[in-house]
Amino acid sequence: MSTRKKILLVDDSNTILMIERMLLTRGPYDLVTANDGDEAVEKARTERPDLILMDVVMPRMNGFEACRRIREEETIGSTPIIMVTTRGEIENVETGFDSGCNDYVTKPINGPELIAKLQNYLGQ
Amino acid sequence: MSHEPSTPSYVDRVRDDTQRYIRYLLTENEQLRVASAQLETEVSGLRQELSQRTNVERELAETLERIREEGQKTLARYAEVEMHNANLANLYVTSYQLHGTLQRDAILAALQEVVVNLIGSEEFAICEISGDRLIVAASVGVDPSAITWATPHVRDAVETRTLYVGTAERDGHEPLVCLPLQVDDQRVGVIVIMRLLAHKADLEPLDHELFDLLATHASMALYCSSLQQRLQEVALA
Repeated sequence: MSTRKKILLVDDSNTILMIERMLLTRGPYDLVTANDGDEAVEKARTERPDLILMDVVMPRMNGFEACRRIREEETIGSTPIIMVTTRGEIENVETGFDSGCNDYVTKPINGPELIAKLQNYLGQ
Repeated sequence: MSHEPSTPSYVDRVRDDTQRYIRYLLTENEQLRVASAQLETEVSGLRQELSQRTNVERELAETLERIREEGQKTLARYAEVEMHNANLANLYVTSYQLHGTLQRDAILAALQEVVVNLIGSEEFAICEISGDRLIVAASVGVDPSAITWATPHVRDAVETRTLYVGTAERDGHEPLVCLPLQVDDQRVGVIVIMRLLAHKADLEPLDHELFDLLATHASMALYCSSLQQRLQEVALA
C-alpha cells in the first residue's frame, strides 16, 4: 500500500507552480509551495518534505544557493532535490549537481518525465 | 522275466527338459507380448496427451504474447493520455493566468511566464500596436529598440493576420516566430520570439496550440486591460 509523499514546489512563477500542481494533484502527493530560495529553506525545515522541486532563477536566493543551504542541515540534508530549470546547458547542470541536487528537469516541463523522476526518487 | 521300471535315458531327460524349457519360454513370451501391447497402448496415450499439452502450451504462449502486446499498447496509450493531460494543463493554466486579471502589468507578466516556461524562450518581445506605432511592452533577452516594423516578418504577420514560423536555417537576426494578436479586426499587437532555449531543438505541436490560444486570449486580455485603463482614466477625469 503506497503512502502519500510530501513534495515542496519552489518557484517564483505562479504559472509553473500551477502547472506542477495540476500535474501532481492526481498522484499520492501532498503539495506545499515556496516562492523563493529563502522560503524554500524555511519550508524544508518546517514541512520536512520527501522531495523538493526547485526552480533555479529566483529572487532573494536562487535555487543553487537554497540547495546548498538545505544540504548543510542535518535534519533535511538528505532530502532529494530535483532542479527545474530553463538552463539546460551542461555547465548549468554541473553547477546544479555541485550544489547538491540529485537530478534536474528542463522547462518547458515534460509532465510524464517529471512524474517518472518523482516516482523513481520516492520509491513508488 | 520281471518288468522293472525303465530309467529314462539321457536323451529322454534332455528331451523332457527341453520341452519344459520351451513351454516356459512360450509362456514368458506370451506374457512379454501382453506387457508390450499394454506399454504400446500407454505410450500411445502419453503421446496423445503430450500432443494435447503441446497444443495447450502453444495456445498459452500465443495468449501470453497477445497480452504482452496489448499491455505494451495500453502503456503507450497511457503515456499518450498523460502527455495530453500535461498539454491540457499547460493550456488551461495559460488561459487562467491571462483572464485572471485586468491589470496590464500582470497580464504582461503572465504572458512572459508563458513564453519563458511553457513555450521555452528567453529571447522575445511582446509588442502592442497603437495607431501605426509598434511599442515593445515587455521583452526578455532582446534589446527593445531592436524590434520595430522593420524587423523581418513582423509587419507581414500583422497585416496578413497570420502566424509566421521561421526555419532553423533562417538568419540570426530574423525572428523564429511572429504571432499577431488581434480582436476581431482590431490589431492589438504581436509577440516576436527570436530564439528558443538552447536545449529545445524545435517547436512542438503543443507550442502551436499555445500560439492559437495566445492569438485569441492574449489579445483579448490586453484589449480588455486597455479598455479598463481608459475607463479608469475617464472616471478620474
